[in-house]
Formats: sequence, C-alpha cells, structure tokens
Amino acid sequence: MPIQGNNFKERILSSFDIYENHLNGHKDSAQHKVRVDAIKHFESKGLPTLKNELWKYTNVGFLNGLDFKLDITETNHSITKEDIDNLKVEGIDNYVVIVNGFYNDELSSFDTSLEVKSMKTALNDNKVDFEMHYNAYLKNDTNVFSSINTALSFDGVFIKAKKGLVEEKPLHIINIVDTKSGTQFKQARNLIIAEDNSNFKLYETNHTIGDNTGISNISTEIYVGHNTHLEHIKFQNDTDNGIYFAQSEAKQERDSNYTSNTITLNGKFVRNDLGTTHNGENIETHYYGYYYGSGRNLIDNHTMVDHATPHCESNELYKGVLGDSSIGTFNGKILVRPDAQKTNAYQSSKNVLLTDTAKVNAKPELEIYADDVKCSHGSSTGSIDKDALFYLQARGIPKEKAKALLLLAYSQEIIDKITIEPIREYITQQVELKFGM
Amino acid sequence: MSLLKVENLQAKIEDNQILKGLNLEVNPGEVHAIMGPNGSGKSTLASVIAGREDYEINGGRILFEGEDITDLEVHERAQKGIFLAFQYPVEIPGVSNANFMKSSVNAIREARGEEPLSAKDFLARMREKSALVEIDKSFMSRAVNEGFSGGEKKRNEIFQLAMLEPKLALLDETDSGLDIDALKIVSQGVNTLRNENNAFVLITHYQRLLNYIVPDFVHVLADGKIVKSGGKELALELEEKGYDWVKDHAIEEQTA
Repeated sequence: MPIQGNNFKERILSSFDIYENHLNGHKDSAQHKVRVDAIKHFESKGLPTLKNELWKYTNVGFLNGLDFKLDITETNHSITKEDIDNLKVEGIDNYVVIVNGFYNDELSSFDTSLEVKSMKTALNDNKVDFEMHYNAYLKNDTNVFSSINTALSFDGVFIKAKKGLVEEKPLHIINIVDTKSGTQFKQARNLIIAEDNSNFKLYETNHTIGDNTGISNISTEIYVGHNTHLEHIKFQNDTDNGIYFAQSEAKQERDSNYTSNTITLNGKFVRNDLGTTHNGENIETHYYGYYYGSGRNLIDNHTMVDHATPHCESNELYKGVLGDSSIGTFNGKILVRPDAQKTNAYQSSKNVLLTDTAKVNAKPELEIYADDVKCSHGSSTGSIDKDALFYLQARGIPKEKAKALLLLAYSQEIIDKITIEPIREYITQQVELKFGM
Repeated sequence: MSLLKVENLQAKIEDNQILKGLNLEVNPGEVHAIMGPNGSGKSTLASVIAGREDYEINGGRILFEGEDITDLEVHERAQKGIFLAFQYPVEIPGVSNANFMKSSVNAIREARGEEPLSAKDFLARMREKSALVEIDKSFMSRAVNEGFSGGEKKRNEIFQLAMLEPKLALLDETDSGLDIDALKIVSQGVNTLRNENNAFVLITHYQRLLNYIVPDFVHVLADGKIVKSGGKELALELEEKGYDWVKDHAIEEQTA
C-alpha cells in the first residue's frame, strides 16, 4: 500500500502505523516493544540535520524529496539467477542473497559449516541467540537510521559460527535493491555471531538493479567471541542509482581479532557507520578503508572504536581519492575509557584530491580518559604527487596512465590487507577499471 | 642532422628568468658535459629539454632529430628517445620497479607501433641490464626508489637508461652524492651504453665524473647561457681556475 507525500519522517511514521494495525493483537510481544521504542526514538529525533555533530558534513535532506515506495512487506521482485551470476566473484562459491531486505533462498547458494539462514527463521529457531545479541549492539539512540531499521526491518541474514568452528571458505553476502518498478526504500537487518574460538571471513556487496533510485538501509550486529578471528570486507561499487546507509556494530570479547575493510568505488550516496566495543583484554581491531569518488558521489565513513577494557589494540587506516565533484568524509573516533589502560590505538586518514571541485572532510577524534596509553592519529589531504607524475612521464608513460598507476598504488596498501586472494584480485581489477587501466 | 639542437632557448619559472638564450648542438655518438656554478641553470636545461611543465619557455626552440619538440608533452619526448636521469630520483610507494619498467618499456614500444614485450623477453632484459649496474634481483619487486640509498637510486637511473636505450640521455648531476665505488659502477654503465648512434649530455658541478666518462665537448653554463665551450681539457682548466674565471670571462666578452 503506497503512502502519499514526500516527507520522509511522515512516511516512515505512517508506514509504521499501517504495519502496527495489521498486527492483530501481537502488540505485546518483546519484539514489538523493541520496534515501538525505536520508532518513538525516530519520531522524537527525525532526520539528522547538519547541526548534528555526526552528520555535519552529510546532508540527508534529499530523502524528503524522494518519492519512493515503502511497502515493507512486499517480497515480489524481478531478480534472476543471471543477475546473481553478474555479481558473483570467481573463486567464491558460497553466497547468500538478500533482495529488497529479504533473505532469498532460491538465489542463494552455499555449502558451508556456518549456520546461514533468514533472520525470520532465526527469530524462531535461535531464540537464545536473539535474546543475547539482537538489538544489543546497534546504537539506536545515536543513529536514527538504526532506529528506522529496528522499527521497520523484517528480514536479513543470520550467520553463526559455533564454538571452535573454522570455515576457510568466505561467504559472500549479496545485498540487492530491485528498482525496476520504481524508487525503493529497503531495509535489511543482519546478525552475525562468531562464538568463541571461531574463525571465518565475510565479503559483503551492495547493488541497485534497475533504472530508479534504490535506498538501502542495512543494519548489522556482530558478536565476536573469545579468541575469534573475523575478517569482514565490504565492497561498495554500486551504480549511480544507489543510496546506501549501513550501520555495523560489533562487540568483541577477549583475545579476539576483528578486521573490517570497507572499499567504496561508486554509489550516489554512501554512509558507513562502523563501530566496535571492546569487552575484554588483548583484543585487536583493524579498520581499513579505501574510497574513490567520481561524478557527484558522496562517500561518508564514520568509525568508532570504544576501548572500554585494558590491554587492547586498534589500528585504523582510511585512504581516499576524490575526483570530479565528489565529496568524501572520514570521521573516526577513538574512545579510551578510564579502565582501558595500556591501550594502543592508531588512526590515520589520507586523502588525495584530483580536482578543485572535489572535497574532503576529515575529522579524526581522540577521546582519552586513561593515562597509560599509546594513541596517535593523523590526517593528510593532498593532490597527486607532481614529481612522481613527472618521473613516470619522463619514462614515456602517458599522463593519464601515470596517474592511474599512482592511484592504483595508493589504493593497494588497503586492498593488500585483504587475505582472500580472489577478492583481492577482483577488487584490484575493479580499481584498475575505474582508473581506465 | 644533429640529434639535439637547442636554439636561443629562454625559460623561466614564475618571474625568474633562468635560461637566457642558450644554444647547444649534440650529434649522435657525442658526449657533452655541461658544467657551471650552482644556480646557473644546468638542471633547468635538463628539465626543459625533458619537458617539465613547471617551466615556461618564453623564447627559442628545441629540435630533436630536426623536429621541433618545444611544445610536446613529457612522455612524448621520452617516447621519441629522450631520457632524463634525475638528480633526485622520485620514490614511488606501491609501484614495483618491475611494474614501472614494464609500463615504461611498453608505453614506448606502443608509441612506436611495436607489440608489447613478452613477459619472458622482458625478464631477460631486466636481468641483463640490472647486471650492468650490479643491481640485486630482489630490487625488481621493491617499490621504485623507496628506501633506496643515494647510490642505489642513481644506479637505478642508469638501469632504466639501459632498459630504455634512448637516443639522447641527459644525466642531471648523476655524480652528486655518489661514493667512488658507486661512481665507478655508474660510469661503467654509461660507457658500456654509449655508441655511435646515441648521445649523452652530462650535467655536473665537478670535474670528477669526467675522469670516468670522458666527454667530447665541455660547455660552461653561467647565468642562463653557455659562456664557453671546448674539449675535455676545459674541464680541467675549470677545476684549476674555478668558476669565477669563466664568469669574469663572460663579463669581459659581453662588455667587449
């Protein structure tokens, strides 16, 4: 049932009302209470404005002007196996597909020791997991997109590694919004549970298929148990129709190692909120990111490492290249709480501007309340190294090719952190394509 | 036909006129040395011939094999066979020497309508040419000049020179910062590469290099012009009398 009017907040609220009216007496469930709290929060806050410190560089007012379909229970779509074939990566055989916010069993294909299922199914099958982890890490109170997701998302993917499970084969999460029939606003909610001593790798991509605008709002909660290794790669190379909000919140237990690598090559609008909270000693968190903006792309990465416990380490490196009239934002926060003595926390943000019309906002934040810590942050913005360009040209390499070589080398530092070879090669190829190589 | 002909060349950077009507002619098979005090315009001359855009040419022209290349881009000149060995070779993190040379060799071949070199031939050439300047095999996978010592950087320049086999090589103070062993290796490399079809222009502040690479001609550059030219003995004379001698000499000529 389409809702009229383009005011984003009104539409979300009335959409919630319609949903609630169809519940027929299930309004007392714990699940529903979570939704009500979330929508109330959104109602009181509304969309963030530039006055909001976390959104000061990124204007989401455009959402008010978009006439999108908001039929939250609609599961029909036109995505085919051929579409998926185009999105798969050679050498990655396990993939799970989410279309318009709903887990799609038919389009998915995996043979893995991980437990992979729809969130809807898991809600019944994995009651204990839900009680422990669902809505436990996401920051509904500081990010209204998380509130909207909590209030009005109905599916997504549930991934669980049991204690001690080691899965060598990475799982590709393919998130699709089908916009062939019109502009869409779609949400998926994912829960990833890595029980103690487990070890696995995730590769996540997002795609808008169709000629209309697709707005995705994806919230992912991640539990990283004791002594667990989790590598989580996000590759965002959507069409110019893609508007993407993603919040990913992790909780890490002692001796765990969580590596996130977010690489963005295209999309009309991309906002990544990435957060980790430490809950034990000897934890390692690695955040890597690379973004390339062209046209009028807007790419915004917000990260937060919450050092709540002592003897932990976080290491963060984000690099950006911004061309044409694109805008890049990096806001990385490191919070070291009073108990978090002997913390090592490093953060670095580097940007290259290719044109006078491209823009970057880099805002590193360090908030330290413990006295025995090693923390550093640095941020630099420059243009392509003219001397290096001249050097390459003086060896006969044409200017555009020389630029591409330099930019590829610049991105390689981030791409090389990926330990999954087919993905590393695939992303390198995609970057090369971007630079016309 | 001369290989390089620089005619009344004038070049400036911002409001600073550096070259003030410079003439130079280089023929295949010749080695020229250009000497001069600091700030006389030696390195500018090399950069301008290579096509560096920071300089504005506001008079004169540069001919290469009879063709006016004054307005050509840097890479086009390189593709025609002009090679500049840098005084300060640039570090390029993330680009391996092998990848750099492959891109370079093939860009030049492409410009000449030739097929790219096969991987096998390329490796063979790399091996042969790196031996010439005593470069270790591990160097190929290292990033261009990153973490190289001064001597290694200069040897890398000569290695690239050997790989690309240019018609004209401009060596911009290749001797600066080199110890005697490195200087010998570099000089030996150049001496092996010189033949009747190519030419070298050595830009140097000191006579020392010319003991190892013996020039056919020596030119003295002062205040943006060549003020004196002669044979290899001119370098020795300069060493003995100092640059003030030519400066005074130049002023005498101007006022005469």
